[in-house]
Amino acid sequence: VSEADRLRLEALFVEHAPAVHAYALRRIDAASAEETVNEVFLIAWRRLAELPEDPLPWLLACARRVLANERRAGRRRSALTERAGQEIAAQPHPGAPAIPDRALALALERLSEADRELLLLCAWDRLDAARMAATLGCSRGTLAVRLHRARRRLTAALALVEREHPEASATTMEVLG
Amino acid sequence: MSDVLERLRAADPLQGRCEAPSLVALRERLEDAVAERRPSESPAGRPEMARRRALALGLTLVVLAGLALALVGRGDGRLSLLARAYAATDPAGGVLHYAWSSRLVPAASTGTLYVEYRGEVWRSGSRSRTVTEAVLVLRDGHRSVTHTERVTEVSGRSERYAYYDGHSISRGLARTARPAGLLVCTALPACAFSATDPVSALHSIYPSLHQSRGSRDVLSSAGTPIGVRVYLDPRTGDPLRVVTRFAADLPTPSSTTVFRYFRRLPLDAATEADLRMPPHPATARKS
Repeated sequence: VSEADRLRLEALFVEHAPAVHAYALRRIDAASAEETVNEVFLIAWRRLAELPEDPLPWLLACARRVLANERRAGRRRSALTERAGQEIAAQPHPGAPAIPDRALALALERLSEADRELLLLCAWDRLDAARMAATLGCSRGTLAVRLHRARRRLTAALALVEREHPEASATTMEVLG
Repeated sequence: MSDVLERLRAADPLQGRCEAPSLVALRERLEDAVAERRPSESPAGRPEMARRRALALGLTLVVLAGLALALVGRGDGRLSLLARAYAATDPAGGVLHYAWSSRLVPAASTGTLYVEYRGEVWRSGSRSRTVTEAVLVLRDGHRSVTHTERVTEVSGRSERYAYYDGHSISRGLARTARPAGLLVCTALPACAFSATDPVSALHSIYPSLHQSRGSRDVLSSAGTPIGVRVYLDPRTGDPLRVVTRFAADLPTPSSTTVFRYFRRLPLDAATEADLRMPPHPATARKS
């Protein structure tokens, strides 16, 4: 590793690892999250020349692919989950931290993976529209439409969950105080 | 519908509680990856085309390395303040030479009024020489001065050292739980920045800092009772002043460290001599 590459990679790590780590921690258990961060930055090191001027969306998109590969590998390891197929893909990772708002957690599980990812990038990872579009590899116009639809679907799913599981709503009210 | 996004934001399971990941683990993975690559890159038996490609890649890397170094040196804004600050603590093949003075003020309950430190460091790669003078001032007016000098060479998870404090000299190999040279400075940053090598402390704490809102030259910590503010040269990222404060209810020290100078020197015969421990004064007198 040349000194300049190492320096550039470490500077990149110092600046963006906390955001990539937070992204992974919200979606997977703590040990795997750290492993994901290292994997992402090793990929970045191999492809330093390809990094765009604003590297965060590139790194988050990379983390997203690493997590997806991890999920696929996990599925392959279990014949049972293999049969469950797409249904399992929409479930959050078992080691991911619990969402304190129970009704919201149930509503998110009813969304497609694409909708959920879009909403979480916006609400939890606090990305602006340009960075979200770059992370998801779409135009800003497409992003606006997809985000609008995803919010609408989440609102509908939430209303349904609160009707079907009033006890989840009660827990939510406790959490929100 | 905006309520849904607000509700989602409020349900963030992390709520800002996210520690910076360890750079040490990445370095270890990087070393493993380089070691794995090496056997397949042996030039023996490599076809001509592959050799040409390797040559072209090498030239490209040299050009990129030059550009990256020029970029870091110039600090022209493409690298953030944090990245420039971090790069500034790396000797990068030369020698970092810096001197600081600091004042450590312990919690009110102790008998110590304050401790003043003056230090000078030469650092190159895994080697460093640190000279410090500490003046301890007690509340009853008593003062004591201690002079220490330490030469270290870090290798993997151990540190070879030579040390003397004006009375005794010791040499040895210290094994550390984590790679040597990295300080656990989040526990007591005031001590790390004052009593030991502040740049080493900065190097390990930088991953948890961020640029203060509305400032061009300040990095600070957030989300912990420990407050660290690092004032930098906005162009080069060189550290100028470090201030550490704890929350008022914690009985722990605070400190202010001022860098008297911070410069980069080439690694030559003169700086090699600066990196070596001079003979102990007692030995010098005997000879």
